Amino acid sequence: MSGIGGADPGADARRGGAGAGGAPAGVTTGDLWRVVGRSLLLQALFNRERMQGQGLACALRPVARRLAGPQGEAGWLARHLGYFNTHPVLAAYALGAVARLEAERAAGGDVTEETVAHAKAALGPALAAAGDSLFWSTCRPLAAVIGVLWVAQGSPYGPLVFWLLYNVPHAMVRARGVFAGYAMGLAVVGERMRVGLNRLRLVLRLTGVVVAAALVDTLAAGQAAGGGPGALWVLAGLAVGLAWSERRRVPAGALGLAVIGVALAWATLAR
Amino acid sequence: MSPALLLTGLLGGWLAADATAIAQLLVSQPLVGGALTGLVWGDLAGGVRVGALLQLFALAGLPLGGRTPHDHAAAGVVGAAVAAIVGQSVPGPLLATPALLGVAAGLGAALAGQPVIHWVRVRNEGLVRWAEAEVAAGRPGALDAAQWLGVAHAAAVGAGYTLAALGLAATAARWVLAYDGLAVQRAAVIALPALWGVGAGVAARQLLPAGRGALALFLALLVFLFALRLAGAA
Repeated sequence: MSGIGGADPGADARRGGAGAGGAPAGVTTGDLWRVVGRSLLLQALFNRERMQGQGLACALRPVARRLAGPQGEAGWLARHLGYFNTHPVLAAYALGAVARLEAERAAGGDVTEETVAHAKAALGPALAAAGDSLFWSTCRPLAAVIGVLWVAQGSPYGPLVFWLLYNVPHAMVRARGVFAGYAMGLAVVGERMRVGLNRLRLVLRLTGVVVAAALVDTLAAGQAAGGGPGALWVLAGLAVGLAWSERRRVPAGALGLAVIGVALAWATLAR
Repeated sequence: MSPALLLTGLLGGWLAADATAIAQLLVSQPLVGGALTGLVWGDLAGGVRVGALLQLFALAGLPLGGRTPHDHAAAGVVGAAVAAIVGQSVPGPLLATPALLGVAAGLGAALAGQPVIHWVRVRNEGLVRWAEAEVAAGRPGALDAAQWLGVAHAAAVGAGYTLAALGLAATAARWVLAYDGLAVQRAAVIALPALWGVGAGVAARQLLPAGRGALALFLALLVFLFALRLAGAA
């Protein structure tokens, strides 16, 4: 299913959602902003059985109240309490798209309960793959390594840099995603999004290569400036870290504790 | 309970909730958590350093799907707090000792916290079933109540775990120092640079695109940067 007609139904939603331009009447801009706010609790009851199912239903409660009224709200929400799992940030797009489908259904469109259920089942994995890859595998490590690089250069603002670098795009996607999902429906996850995200990820990762090399260089230079063989230990550690990353047979934390244990054993025995 | 300990507990609760239950603003990451804990204990620079090193190790794990992550929120708080506590009782020249013991405490807290996070998620299933029954009975407001109970539960367990781990780690650190503080200092001189290197390797591999080509590019860039430094020094 593709997005539903109209030049920019999302603009209608942002203006007040009166239904012009192809967007079904009912859901207002205020409702969508409330969904944005509630999406922060998407994982409040994260669990292995239903994952974010309850969080999705709870986030959509303003839409339920608007479309089904006080009498039908409980039944409406009950349909959304099943399994749902996706990336917590890109979930905003799914929330908007589901709200759109439900609004069309309430307006008498040819959307059935099964259509909505199938849409959720399709959106979850697609957005999870995109979000995990972009936010968890790329944005978070890139922002963190930049923050650590600041710390390695002696600045106490590294944590703030990391937090801002991650959260500015995070907040924008959270807010914009609900409106974009509502404007485009299921078309929000399409080839254009996939290609765009892949390009962005490639650029960010190439930046990451440069930043990671700069971090190692700064760490080694810092140790070398202090005298002693510290720079060599940094490089030896780097080799261990890179080799560990190829197989990952033990958690990284256990590897770190093993390094500390070996150093303590050496310091105790070699006297 | 001292004000610093009370604030550490509150911080542990907030960060535990941020990790999964609410917002995921990444204040739960060790780099931020370590800095905040350093502020609480009056040692911002020490907290930032310990948090930064723990952050590199935290990048190894991705919170994907149903996988239960290690407790990196507790790691930053426990690590920075142990470093600050040890730093108050160690003479000035032994600066590396608090950092090493803090990092060890943080790494241990992260690993040991994984079953605690798993337990919280299992408990959430009970709350979800209760909320579903309430909604089926026509009381949709139970959804909101269950959500906030979930956040409060995650925060309370996180605060409790952070304080318990801090108590254990600080006691163990004091015992190790009393047993052979000199050996810890000697070990720190080697272990800290090596840990920075391991962490940088872990973080670099996380950032590099898949394939040997990206690794070769990274190593070539590293050699180029070293050569530039050597040329500058000459």
